[in-house]
Amino acid sequence: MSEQGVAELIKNPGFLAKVDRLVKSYPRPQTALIPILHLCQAELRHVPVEFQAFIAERLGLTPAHVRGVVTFYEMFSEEPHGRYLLQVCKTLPCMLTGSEALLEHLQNKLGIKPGGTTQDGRFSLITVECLACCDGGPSLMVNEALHKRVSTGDADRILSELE
Amino acid sequence: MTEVLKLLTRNVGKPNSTHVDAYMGSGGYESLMTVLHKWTPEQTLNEVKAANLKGRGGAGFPAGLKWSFLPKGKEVLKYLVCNADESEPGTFKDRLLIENDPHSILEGIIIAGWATQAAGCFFYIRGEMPAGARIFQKAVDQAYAKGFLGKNILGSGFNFDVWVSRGAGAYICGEETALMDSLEGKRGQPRLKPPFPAGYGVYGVPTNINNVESYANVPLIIRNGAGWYTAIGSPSAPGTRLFGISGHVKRPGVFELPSGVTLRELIYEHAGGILGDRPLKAVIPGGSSVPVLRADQIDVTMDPDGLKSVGTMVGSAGVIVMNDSVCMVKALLNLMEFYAHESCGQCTPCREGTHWLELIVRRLEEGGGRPSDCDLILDVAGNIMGRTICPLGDAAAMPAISFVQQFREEFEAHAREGRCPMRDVRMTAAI
Repeated sequence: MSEQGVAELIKNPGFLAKVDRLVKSYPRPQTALIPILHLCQAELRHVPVEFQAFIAERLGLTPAHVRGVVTFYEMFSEEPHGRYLLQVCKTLPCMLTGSEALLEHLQNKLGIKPGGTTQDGRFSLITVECLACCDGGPSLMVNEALHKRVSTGDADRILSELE
Repeated sequence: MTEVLKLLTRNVGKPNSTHVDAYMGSGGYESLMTVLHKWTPEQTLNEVKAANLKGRGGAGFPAGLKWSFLPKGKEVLKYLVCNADESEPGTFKDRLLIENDPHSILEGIIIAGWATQAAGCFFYIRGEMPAGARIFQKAVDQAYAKGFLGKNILGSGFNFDVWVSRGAGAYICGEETALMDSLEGKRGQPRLKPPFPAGYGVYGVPTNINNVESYANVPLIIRNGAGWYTAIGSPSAPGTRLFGISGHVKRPGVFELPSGVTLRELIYEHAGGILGDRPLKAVIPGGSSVPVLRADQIDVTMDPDGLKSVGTMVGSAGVIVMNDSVCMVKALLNLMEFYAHESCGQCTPCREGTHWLELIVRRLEEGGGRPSDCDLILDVAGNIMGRTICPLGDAAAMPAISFVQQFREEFEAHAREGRCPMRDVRMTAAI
């Protein structure tokens, strides 16, 4: 499924136009690499090696360079995650205010460990380092939406409001 | 009680505070107009230098002095970078400015561009702040539309661009040269210095880099003058600071205060005291990388001199408060996991040392500790200090050393009892 997804994506005129705009928007094209990887991650929920090869050629880089970048940054993954990526901040200020209980609740509710994805492909659960929202601990990011002071009850409500 | 000053935070909470018209309605971009029409780049730089604006990212280096390291003249291609990769645990002040008042940062950046005659600025924002990136990009678009960016800004003949770029989840990219490598589409690994960024920065072009809060101070300095600025706060660190306070306090948040406020006042007055009304146990005063303080060490001013007197640093001004429900071994384990995870792996002392620190602290917390572990932590951390390309190694070693020194008895009790003595204590939660 992922291969088909990537094959379609790199032929999609709308997507290619976005890539072109990014390449031209910085003083040098290589600066567009990480922003373009973000685009791919957002579209496919991962950055498969086929896309890495495509963008390497487009920017005049080696596939190995691109893979080095993809594997260095936490926000890029080579395996797809679920439709909703639940990111529990585990760093000290959030731990002090209750992130362990929040994580445990989500694990029990979804039946997955951090790094896992529910069988229906809806939810992936991960722990992340400090989200720079320490006054809102425990904090939870669901895809791009940041939630602050999330009690277990809040977590249930947030999840129930998702499709 | 030291009063909160609304200088950097003057627009926070106002309606439409992120829009250029609202910003201009309260005098925004007037400082830019002043320097472009009335001041030479040199005068502009000298004013910021005279204000003794100390960098707000953590190192506290004087911003004006840093600007002066760039080669002079507009014929030399130069760049600026705004470091918006806020990721030091306990630090969340730049987020407040980016999401509420992006134009104050942008105006500071453009003024810095004029002072240094740079061609443009890269705004590198954390990948985990997508909303902030969109807000800032919108502010940039509005500034182009008003003629504050682009060619021949306000008829001055000065050209300046701003490019927004997102990180992708790597604490190390807050380090200036790792950030520059990341901007070049590479893994974010710090560069060996020298050459320093002022001579060899982004793409090898001379580059100046400052923190979000540092740039946001610049329009205020231009508008009110260096004399006004240096009269606020402590002489060693003029101006206000955005103190972020988190953990076990009743009112966590960002408080803008003169730098001379005491840590006790910050915790007990501004942040409302300790959560759960329990005794204070420990405070990390400047982001997770600085040495920890005990409860009896908080009668100090939150400036470089005050915190130096108790062996720590003001860092990023992110204050993490812990009450007596916290096990200090567990707290250190959390930080050691962080640094081991975020080490870029380039230098052996950091790559190996942070990993071993995590393992040793973990075995203490989980009941397998040895009597010699305190000395082993000090030894491993001491062998990281000063032996790496960038400060991440030191940033991991400093909390490790200080936690053991300040709370040695608690660490030793873990080894002696073969378990965590606080395992039955329920840690105070905020929710």
